[in-house]
Amino acid sequence: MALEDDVLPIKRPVSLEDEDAVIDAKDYDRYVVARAGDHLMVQFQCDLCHFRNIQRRSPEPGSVRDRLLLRCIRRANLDACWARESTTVANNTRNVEKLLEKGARIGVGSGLVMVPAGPCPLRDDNLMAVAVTMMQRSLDAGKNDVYVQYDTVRQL
Amino acid sequence: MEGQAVSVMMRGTTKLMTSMCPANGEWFERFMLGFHNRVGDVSCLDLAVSIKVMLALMERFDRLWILADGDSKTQEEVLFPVLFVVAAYAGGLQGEEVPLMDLFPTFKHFAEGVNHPKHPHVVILALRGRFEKRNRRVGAPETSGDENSLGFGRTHLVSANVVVVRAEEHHSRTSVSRRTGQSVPRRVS
Repeated sequence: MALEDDVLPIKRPVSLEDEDAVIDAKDYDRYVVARAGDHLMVQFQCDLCHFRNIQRRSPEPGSVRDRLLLRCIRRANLDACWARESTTVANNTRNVEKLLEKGARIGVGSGLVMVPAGPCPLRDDNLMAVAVTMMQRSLDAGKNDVYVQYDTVRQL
Repeated sequence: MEGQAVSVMMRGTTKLMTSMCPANGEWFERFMLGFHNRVGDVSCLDLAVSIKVMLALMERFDRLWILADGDSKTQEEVLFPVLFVVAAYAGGLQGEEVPLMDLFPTFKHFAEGVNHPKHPHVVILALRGRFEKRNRRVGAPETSGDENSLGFGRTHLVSANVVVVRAEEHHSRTSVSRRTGQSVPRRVS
């Protein structure tokens, strides 16, 4: 899951000397790709499932509106994943791996330790529709910055 | 209605309510947190520029000036922000007041400010127009305070060594006394 040509703004920690220089090379991947183990930290559904939950249909090929909605859904999914730092996700993943490893040692299968998360109902239970609407609001022009700020967007 | 199912009061200070609203759900909470992390916050603090910040700025401008290396176009690009920053800082001006500076009256009254009998070495910055909450409206009754306290027609003491004079008003309503060297109000018909 990656979103490289994203129009939505991403703020990364930059050097004070050069505002174009990101301090850590790893930061280029921030909010652009998901990490191994993100699905263990946050409830995850793919873009297509979210689209169908909202629109009750599949996206039409060639439809600009549908493509934009899919991009916003992916952006919201990545935002939900990046609510936790990479180290936290990595630690949690390691713990889950240990859990499965210890369970396997005594013959307890992963299906018994980890409860299946799906199948999910055909409903927008996570309020993805509101999340993608907020994405569009966040692209409005701001007063102190290029785009409106978080506190303005969250008033929706 | 959402949020009106069951509520628990703890000693009358904390109220816990159950809610079925998806906006209070786990995923949406994570999304809001991640979204906030991604867009960040740009805070524009209403703080005065400290002398340390000013010195750091001047150092940067010095570096840029050296890098310009005699290139007149680059020098011009460096000089304008330098002039803007120095004038704003020395004059205690707000950002939008800096372009109101009138260089000709400033130059004209430079000696007058330096040789002022009461406050010598005062720099007079002439500004065009009226700026908010600092000057009275033209023709309004005079009030006590900073105005006229330095002997100028309509002045405002901005900082310890800078007097801002409204250029148009100063020309039209004051004149310099030959006897005392002070600016005195001039009769306007």
